[in-house]
Amino acid sequence: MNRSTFAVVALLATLFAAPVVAQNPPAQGDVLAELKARMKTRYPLLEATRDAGKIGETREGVVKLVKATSAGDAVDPKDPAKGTFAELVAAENKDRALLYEALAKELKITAAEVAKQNGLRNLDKARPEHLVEIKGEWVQRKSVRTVTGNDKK
Amino acid sequence: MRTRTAALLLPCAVPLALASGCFAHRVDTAPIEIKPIHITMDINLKVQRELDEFFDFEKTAAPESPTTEPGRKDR
Repeated sequence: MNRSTFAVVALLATLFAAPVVAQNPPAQGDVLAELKARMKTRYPLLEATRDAGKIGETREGVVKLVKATSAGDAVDPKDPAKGTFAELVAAENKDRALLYEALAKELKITAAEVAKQNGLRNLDKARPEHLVEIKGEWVQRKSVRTVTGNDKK
Repeated sequence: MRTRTAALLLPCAVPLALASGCFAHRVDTAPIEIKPIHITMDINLKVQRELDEFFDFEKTAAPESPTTEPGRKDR
């Protein structure tokens, strides 16, 4: 097969393949189900890290490292396969971004609005000793008063 | 000369010495107050419902400490 024949075949293959891919995008339900499965698996580790005060929630709906210096530390020194705190945070935020996009599409609002609502939700349900970021400062949830009356003491 | 100076200063010094007891010197220190942080939560119920539905595993995965707080409303 010479070069020009190969180019024509490749072009035709691309042209025919594109509509097939476009016609079968992953269904919204499948995307959400995959996301949920990943986040559910990650949740116990995330919660343990939150309990340890290494990470905290923000009003923007993302999880952050409380101290940047712990970014390279292993989440579980006994099990390096669990990765570092930075990797855990990045993976969680990546999935959250996908979730916000998916819900925004479904609800016909912006992903930023979904993110903000999840940030408020996370802040509302955080345990009293968990750290939350308010106006750039890390504070314990129990020191934050909300208008819902769901104050943690 | 000394006696004369003393006689002149004495009438001035005595009222000053007596008046000094009338002044009170007080330093006010503001009490240290830790004010709670207030935030306003603008809840969008529709979005919250979707999020609650998605994150339903959080309730089963992490048993929350029993709450006795008044005013808690389940959304």
